[in-house]
Amino acid sequence: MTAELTMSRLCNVIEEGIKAANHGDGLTEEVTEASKMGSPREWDSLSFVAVFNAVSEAFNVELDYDDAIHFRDVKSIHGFLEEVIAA
Amino acid sequence: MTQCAKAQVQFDFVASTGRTATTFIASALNGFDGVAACHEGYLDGDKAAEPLLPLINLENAQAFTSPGAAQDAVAGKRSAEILAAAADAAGAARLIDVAYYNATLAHALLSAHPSARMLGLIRNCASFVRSATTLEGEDPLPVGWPDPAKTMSEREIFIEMGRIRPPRGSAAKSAWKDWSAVRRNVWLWEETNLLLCAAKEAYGARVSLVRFETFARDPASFWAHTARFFDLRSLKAEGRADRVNKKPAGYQVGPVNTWAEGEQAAAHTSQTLIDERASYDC
Repeated sequence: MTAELTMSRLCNVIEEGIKAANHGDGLTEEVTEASKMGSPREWDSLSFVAVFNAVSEAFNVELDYDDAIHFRDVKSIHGFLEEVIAA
Repeated sequence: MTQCAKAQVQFDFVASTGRTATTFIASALNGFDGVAACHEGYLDGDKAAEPLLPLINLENAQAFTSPGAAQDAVAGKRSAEILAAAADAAGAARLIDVAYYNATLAHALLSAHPSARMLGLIRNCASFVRSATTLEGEDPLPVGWPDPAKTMSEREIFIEMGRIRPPRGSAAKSAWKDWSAVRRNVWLWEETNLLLCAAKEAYGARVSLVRFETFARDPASFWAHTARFFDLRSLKAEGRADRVNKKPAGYQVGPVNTWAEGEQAAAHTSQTLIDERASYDC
């Protein structure tokens, strides 16, 4: 199912992606609009791909490796998705 | 960080395709007095410790297609302030970073830091491709493009996202999906080394191109040249610049004469191109 793009929904998707990559364990801090790779610290290079895939699936967008550069922080992901969905 | 501290830091870097003993070279450079040398941002290549410099991965692919992105990456992760803070944290007056991404950032780094020097290491094409190509199993140090059918770990995928690839709309991009790992890595080798050659052409004596084979066959000459070029003086008490890299090679790809005809031809063409373009100092 495709989720409507809201900041809170996006944060939730990212958080679930990070948790999935960390075997479902809780995070040191919740994912918010201000979150970025390294904060929470579980959002690292290993969970990056899980977040990338989770966002692609949740918002039904086809992603290319060239899009990965936008996935380093929540605000950039949100801005990128707004552009993709509007296109 | 004070202006005084900034002025005291000399930043230099080593760039290559990877698979050119860069971890070993970074560690040896770190053995020189007053030098803090990193491998891909990690002091002395120690990846168990926190990185001394901000890590660069995704920016590498972006910088390859966009000079503006390269400038942004340097401004955001290799600014004078960041380099000064890193040198200060390491207690060194000089900083050297040895990394594959320095090829795509070379122009931006040399432009942003007028005293910076670049040592470019160029390995023989076929030798690089054999070393960098993984056909099966997880590659702990992925440098090249793997077999397209290979199962990838998330770590390998993340690193792959930062690897240079043909820009959208290019002829290589159209052909890419049909290319084998060997053919893709010939492309990777050529494009990376063209960047090194371009840096040499643009920045002259601030750039030195060295054959990796010199390092492998005659390490004494390599280190003598490198010490001269970077103006490296005495070694730290524990430093050793006469070391020989003895890391064993474990290739999954056979010698060039076992490759498909098109792969051999591409490797030959790329090798010829770089041989004609590169102006080697050692």
